[in-house]
Amino acid sequence: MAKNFSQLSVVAFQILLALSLKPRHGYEIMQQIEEDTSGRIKIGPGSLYGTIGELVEEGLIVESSLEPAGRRKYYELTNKGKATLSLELSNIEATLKLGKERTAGVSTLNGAVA
Amino acid sequence: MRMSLQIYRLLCSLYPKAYRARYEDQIMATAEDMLSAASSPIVRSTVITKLVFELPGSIIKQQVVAAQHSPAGGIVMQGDKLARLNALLMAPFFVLIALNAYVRTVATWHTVMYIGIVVLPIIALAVGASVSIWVIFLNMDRTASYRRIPVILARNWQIASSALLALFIVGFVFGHDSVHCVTDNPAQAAQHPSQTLRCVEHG
Repeated sequence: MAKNFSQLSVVAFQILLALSLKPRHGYEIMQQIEEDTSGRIKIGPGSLYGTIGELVEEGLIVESSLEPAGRRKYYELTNKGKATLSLELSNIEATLKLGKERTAGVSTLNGAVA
Repeated sequence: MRMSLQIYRLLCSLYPKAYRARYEDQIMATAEDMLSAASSPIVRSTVITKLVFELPGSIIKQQVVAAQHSPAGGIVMQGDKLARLNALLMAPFFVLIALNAYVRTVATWHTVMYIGIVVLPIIALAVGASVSIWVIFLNMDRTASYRRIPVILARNWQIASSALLALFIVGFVFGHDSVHCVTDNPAQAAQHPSQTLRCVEHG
């Protein structure tokens, strides 16, 4: 079963998102995360490989069959990882929609009060 | 750059063994990539600082994970090494006490006496006690009873016994009536060497 929304950390989510395009090694994942978040999330190798280890253990990513670039191993999403990412994105979408509806209500209310 | 990476590798050696076997090479390769991408020495220094400061949190986390997966506690190996460090810290106490019994002039080495008899055992006590508490913390889960503590300490007997010995030494030193001979301000003692000598002789 896909990993539950509330159990996926921000870094884990960003790693899954970075790997959704193609298999990458550690440094490429870091660069992609920085690009995806416009530099808001910067992680170091320590945190990166800690989270990669957890994701591998959960079966969400695996070492890719691509030839390693020296000591750099490539990682890719598993089917479970793809399902988890998809579920996570649906949840974010639903939360975003709800948030927009609520804040729209608040602005209308504020406008009425003013 | 090579030296920074060596320091970084040294810090990485604090990760648990299994984690190192799996990820150390990849962590080093990523650190090398980050440093190679740095455009100037200033940027490189910033990268090195970030790399080094990011590591301790990750090391502690992995040590905790390793300890949770190991029935004896993942910190046992480090506890063993720290017990040896504690033995080294306490050795001067016994050497100085023995020397003082046979060579009276040893009592005039006030600063040496102060460091060997008071400072080093206190450091050993701090190390031993904090590591013992840390080992207990790592091995206790929410359901564990306090009765498990002696079992955990028995498994980590090296560090636990070094903490007990350090406690005994510190207790002995501060309980002994001649403690003022070594705990006096070393600067003052240096100004009055004869008084210090007399103090020890009469203590």
